[in-house]
Amino acid sequence: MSTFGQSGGRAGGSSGRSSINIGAFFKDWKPTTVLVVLIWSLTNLIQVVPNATVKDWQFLSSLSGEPLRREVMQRVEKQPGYEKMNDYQKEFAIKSEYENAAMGNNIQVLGHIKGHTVFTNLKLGLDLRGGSQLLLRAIPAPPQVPEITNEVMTGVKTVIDNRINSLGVSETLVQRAGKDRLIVELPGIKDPQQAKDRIGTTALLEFKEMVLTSDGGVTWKDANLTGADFKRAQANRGAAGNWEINFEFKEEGGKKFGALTKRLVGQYIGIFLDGQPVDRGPDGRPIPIERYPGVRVNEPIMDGRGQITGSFTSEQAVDLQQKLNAGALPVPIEILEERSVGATLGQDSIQKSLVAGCVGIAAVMIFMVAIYGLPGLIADLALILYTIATLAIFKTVPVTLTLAGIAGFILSIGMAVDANILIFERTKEELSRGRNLYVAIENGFSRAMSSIFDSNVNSLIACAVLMVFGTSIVKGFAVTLAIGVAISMFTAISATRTMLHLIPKEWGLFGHRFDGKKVGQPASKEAV
Amino acid sequence: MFSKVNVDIVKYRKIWFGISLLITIPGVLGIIACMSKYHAPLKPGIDFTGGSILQYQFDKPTSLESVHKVLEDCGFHGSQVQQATISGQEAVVMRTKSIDTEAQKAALDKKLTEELGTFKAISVDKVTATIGPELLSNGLIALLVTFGGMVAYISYRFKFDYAACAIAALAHDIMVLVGIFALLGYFVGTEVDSLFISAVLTVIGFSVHDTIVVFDRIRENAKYVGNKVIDPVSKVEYKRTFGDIANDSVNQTLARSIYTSLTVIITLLALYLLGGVTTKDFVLAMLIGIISGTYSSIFNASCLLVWWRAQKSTSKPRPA
Repeated sequence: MSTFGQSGGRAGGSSGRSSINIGAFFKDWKPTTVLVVLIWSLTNLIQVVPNATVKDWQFLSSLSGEPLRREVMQRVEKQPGYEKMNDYQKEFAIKSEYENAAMGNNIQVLGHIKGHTVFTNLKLGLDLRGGSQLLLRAIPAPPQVPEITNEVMTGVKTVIDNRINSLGVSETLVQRAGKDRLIVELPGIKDPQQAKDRIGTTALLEFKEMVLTSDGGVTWKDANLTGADFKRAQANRGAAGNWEINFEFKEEGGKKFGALTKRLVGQYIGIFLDGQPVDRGPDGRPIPIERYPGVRVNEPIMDGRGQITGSFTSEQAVDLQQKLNAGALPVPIEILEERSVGATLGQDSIQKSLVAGCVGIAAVMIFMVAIYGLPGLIADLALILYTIATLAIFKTVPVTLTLAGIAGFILSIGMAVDANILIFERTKEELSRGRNLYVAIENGFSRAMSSIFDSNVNSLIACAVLMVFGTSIVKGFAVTLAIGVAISMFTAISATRTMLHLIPKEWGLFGHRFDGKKVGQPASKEAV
Repeated sequence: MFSKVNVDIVKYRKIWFGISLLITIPGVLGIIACMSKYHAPLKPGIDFTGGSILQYQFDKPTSLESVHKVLEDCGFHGSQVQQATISGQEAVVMRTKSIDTEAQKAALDKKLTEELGTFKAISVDKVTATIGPELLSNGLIALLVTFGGMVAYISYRFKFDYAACAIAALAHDIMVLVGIFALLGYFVGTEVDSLFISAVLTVIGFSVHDTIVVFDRIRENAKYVGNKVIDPVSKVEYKRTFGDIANDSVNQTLARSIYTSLTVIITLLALYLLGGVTTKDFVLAMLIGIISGTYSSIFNASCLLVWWRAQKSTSKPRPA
């Protein structure tokens, strides 16, 4: 099984080194490419930063929302030359502080050297770092919006984006999915309920006028004035200590509001949020519509300002303010799917996947050496290059690593080795036909290539389909597998081949000794 | 290691097909059993049916009955409550019908805190029932598109009969996988989720990958069909048939097939034994599929191709 036992050249180990085929190294593009890829991957993947900086990042990332904003502003203001900065520079400084906060959440420490932390920062999915993922669906609201069009969805996305940003969670993601869906990702969120409350409501503010019915009852008639006519809203503590929301209309809306109030002096108008009276009862819930008195219009309001009063708590008032400022959703939405993973489960998953990955790779490496001896070791080196290069690509793209994605990656390791096995088996055959070492390796490669290529194209077909039709979990898996398959072709073609050529002729390969002449001795078959 | 092995695989094809049948028949029975029990060929998880899985870690020790009672009180009838160990700590897994509104969930959480003390939510999965059929149809479309893409590609690179046999071997692997999961679903209650669909698609990728390596060899060796060779035992000269060529090709690639599958199985085993709880069934599905894929590409695909070619040549009128 081993190549060492029979090779006569082994005796002169040191003199054997001189015969290493250096010429092959520079013969074509491959060796150089391998080196470039290796260096690029390592520099891209591994970062070294002083411990104190990392601690500071982690401190920043432990904050969220308002405290984070305050801390960031303080830091930026303390920067030298802050007074001289223009707006663009200030914005840049703030952005980089936020990036540091995001960094603290996302680093995987590899070790510490002399007061420096060695780490990599792969992007981890919600199932690994904890967080919530929501799948939202926009529901058509006839007669105004009978159908969810592209424009409607763009509107929905903008509003949801604004609302999520007002939560102050870093690295949130709002993404279109299909015709009428949105995926919202909230990593590391501590209170998913608050997020859902804020996302889920339409926040459609409407003004209606009170109309008395013939039987003495009351109905509310649409006054064609909505929250979309607002310029901005602001929660304030009123004179009586109650919380109220002051609002200002846009020019157009102000005119409409003026005309409406002029027409209805002495009568009542109602303000409704998502179809319910905006006023809150003592229990903090909207008061029932049949008991809602509305607001008496004392005089025409021509300056386009107004206020909403009621028994708001400070949270409710601020929440309403933010909803109004973020704008109303053009259509109602529903939460189709919610997946929340606590940080503990995520940590547990990372740890287990890491252990499983390392054990898996190590076992495959041992297996390869056991089967092929020295060439097996070469395959192992190619495998290490493969692993590093793939992770570097994951970081650069960036690919969000989920649990399923890691499974895909580990599976692709098995497939990466397959290319090596195919090449080795072919090379072995060529050797037993009596070809010389160089020709055998080259033939082995070219013969193995057709099957490597065809089989990998098929795997890529499956991956492509998964990317198109899969849910987000499935997509993560497909992307990692596809990248893995593509890189495995590269490492097999370039790295394995280069290293095989580096084996001294005296050592032979797969038990075939090679002295530079054709050895046509089928007897060596037994040795394999 | 395997270079001296020379099994007459084509000759014993009835045995190989028989083994495949032996494995698939219980699977088919499992599917029928699942149809009567769950009205679906496999036990569908909440991804397909809609529903909620809540994993909570209570600060105080709690009995499963008390959790169940709270669920009943909150109107979640027919819920299942199980114990699980997550990161070394006990946790309660609640499976309920779909929790449609946030208010229902808030009420449940409040009641749980009141009755059983504070808890930490380890994971919350809620899926509305509307999404299930869509997921299923997307999965099936994905399956068909993959099939179509592969048939087109193999027909282009090889020939149509190669493609048909590769797909037949593939269908076998999917049957084995689905059958075993149907049995698991019926007896152990293993549910399938959207990850299962990706496991199936991966198995498809791998199985065809494996089959293509064998077919690549047959394609390469096919030029020797009709060559005259002398039988080493009887010393009679005969023409090599397509069956002989297929047999040689399978034997030549046998070592590679087994080594490759072993490396994949090693990595998957590591994932299965040491990896996270969440992907256990997913990895198991891939393990089953890959073992079956290796078997079918060695034993079924090429035998099928030989049989196909034999049928075609006998149906053609031979020139006198």
